[in-house]
Amino acid sequence: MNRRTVLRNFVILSAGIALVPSCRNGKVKRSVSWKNIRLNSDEENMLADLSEAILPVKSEAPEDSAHYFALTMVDDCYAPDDQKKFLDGLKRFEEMAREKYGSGFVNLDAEQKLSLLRELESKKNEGEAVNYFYNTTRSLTLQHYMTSKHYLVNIRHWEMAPGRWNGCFPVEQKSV
Amino acid sequence: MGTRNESNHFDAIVIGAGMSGGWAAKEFCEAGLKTLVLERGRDVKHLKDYPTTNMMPWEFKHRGQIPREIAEANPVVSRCYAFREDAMHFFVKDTEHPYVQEKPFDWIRGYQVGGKSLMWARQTQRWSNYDFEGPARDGFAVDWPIRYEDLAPWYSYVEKFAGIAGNRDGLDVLPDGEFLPAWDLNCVENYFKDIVSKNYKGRHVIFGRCAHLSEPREIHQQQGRGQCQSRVLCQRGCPFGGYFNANSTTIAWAERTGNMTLRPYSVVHSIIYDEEKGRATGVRVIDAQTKQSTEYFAKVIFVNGGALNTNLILLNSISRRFPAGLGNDNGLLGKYVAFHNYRARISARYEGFKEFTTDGRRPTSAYIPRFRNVYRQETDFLRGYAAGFSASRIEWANTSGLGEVLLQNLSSDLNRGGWSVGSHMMGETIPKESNTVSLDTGRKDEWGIPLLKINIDYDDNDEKMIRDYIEQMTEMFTRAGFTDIKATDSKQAPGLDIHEMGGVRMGRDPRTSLLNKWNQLHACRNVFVTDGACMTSTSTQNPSLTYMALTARAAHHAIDQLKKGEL
Repeated sequence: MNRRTVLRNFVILSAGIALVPSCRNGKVKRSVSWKNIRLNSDEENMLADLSEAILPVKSEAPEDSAHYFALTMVDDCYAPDDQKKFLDGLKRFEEMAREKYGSGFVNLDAEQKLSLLRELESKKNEGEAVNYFYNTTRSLTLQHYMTSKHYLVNIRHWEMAPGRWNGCFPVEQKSV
Repeated sequence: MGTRNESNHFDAIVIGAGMSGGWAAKEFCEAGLKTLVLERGRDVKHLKDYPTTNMMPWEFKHRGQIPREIAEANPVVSRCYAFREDAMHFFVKDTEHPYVQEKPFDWIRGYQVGGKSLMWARQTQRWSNYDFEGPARDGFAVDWPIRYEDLAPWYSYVEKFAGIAGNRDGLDVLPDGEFLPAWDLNCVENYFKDIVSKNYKGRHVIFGRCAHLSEPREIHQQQGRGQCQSRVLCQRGCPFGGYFNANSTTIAWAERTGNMTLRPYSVVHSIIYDEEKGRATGVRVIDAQTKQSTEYFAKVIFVNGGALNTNLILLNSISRRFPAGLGNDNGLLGKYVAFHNYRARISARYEGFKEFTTDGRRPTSAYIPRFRNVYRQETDFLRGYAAGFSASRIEWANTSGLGEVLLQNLSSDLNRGGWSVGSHMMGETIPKESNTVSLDTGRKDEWGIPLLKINIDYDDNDEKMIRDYIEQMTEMFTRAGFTDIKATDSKQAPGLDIHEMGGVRMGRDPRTSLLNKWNQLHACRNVFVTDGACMTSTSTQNPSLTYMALTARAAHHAIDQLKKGEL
């Protein structure tokens, strides 16, 4: 590789670094562009905080985070009506936080966040969209965690190739 | 058997590199014949072209789910249970090769080397004479020109090479084969087996025979295949070669002889018939990518395009001698198509054996061979059904709570309920003249071939059989003390069983069948059809093993005839 190529590659690399979104606690500050859904970076950060409040799991990279997975699934796999309901519910959820605590969800302390979620889990009359949004986020957050390497390998001792089958295995010998 | 020098002349041409075509390729190449294998899709090399085979669950962007845009653009293939994120690259999208549904028909296809043998469910049950004698005894279709005795040695032949796990159950309805050790039934399946055998004469719950190397033999090691590791991710292609597919087994074997020319992206337009010679001389191929037409020539042609595409090729092989399709003197080509009735399933719970669960995985489950109308007609419908049966412990993680509590709950031991049990039917359908495939001469595909029109439906016999399956299974489940019994009829369209058969049926009489007992077209003896299209009736067994045995048998007959100069 000649010097010019090295230099050019260095410039490309530096430009790449400059474009990498700045991160705070693994949250994406700039909104990624989704194909079908529109939400701003504040809303995305709020969703990140919400899934972390539901299940406090740290992800190493933003792309590995639960809220990123949730948005990927909603964007790629959900019907337009459900995508709309999800986004409407997201906005309504943020309003609920403001009505109750006078502040956006991301600024609430841990106890306030949990208390809002408990309220949502106990009450079913908060309006269809906000419940749909919350339940969807909760179930996608769980799906993300329960299909993660950490959960499957360390907690459930899942094996890709067990190489064995025992059709009558004593429950007491099963550790998980 | 001398070969000519021209690059487009061969001893044998095999159309289709899938489940059955792979066997024709292997047999011809082993016998020293220069063999051209034509595959309309791309090449898929064992190991090399299994892009998802070692992917972990967390590496799938949508955790297995098909994105909505793909599902909506491809409603037919999206109904297939195996069309998931990990294997969708092996399925034909609806848009890639359109067809005309005169009645709803879910045509599930795999256009690639290996065909559907890459993603099949790997169940391999032999037929018995109760199956072969069905049409003659019950007066439908035509009599099969062969019996179990004709095929038994060929079942053994293909079983030994492919590797089939199973128990020697000693049942007349489902003959034993050359088996590798079976996996076990689990506690509840064994319990159900006992209940059924105590309460019902002639009903058996066995371990389903399946194409897995539970204990590889020398021949499998020679193929470069190893022991099944119970991953149960077979539809992705197996890094161990633990199950049979054409890619790892027959095609790879044929390739090693140096006698095979494999030509992917080769859509067969038609078979060329020479009126002076009174036989087929070759095939006309459209390159799938460039759309260029080329002709290839051989002494013998095996058509293994997959049941309906084989019909399509023959129907489109028009000549002055055969204006209605090759070998179609009696007008029956494309008629008497049948399939398997998979509409009903039943589920329940069992509260016993709570001190047990299961550990590890296995590639199949229990199987109930046909018990209806086996020895004599005893119901108000013809024939019968086999059934799958399986039990699994109901286990779930505790997903209650929020925050740290939820995290803790998820890490705790699984909750365990009772056992979930389930069964699905595999019913024989009666081939009827009205169940047809034909050409839509007005509409052509991008390769200039008429679209296939499919006109296939259930009938009253199928509806009665569904009711009987639900009644009988409900009774058997009730006897076993299963609770919360729920039966469903999916009303799924024909085709989703992926067991479409017939249209070029075998028989004794050229007036009522297309193929003779060696799978040769009565009217054009150097053309053989040995895939699902040749089936005179369907019985209940998963059909691939029978296609394999028929193919090996027919290929050896063709080789013998070539040696004698009779082809």
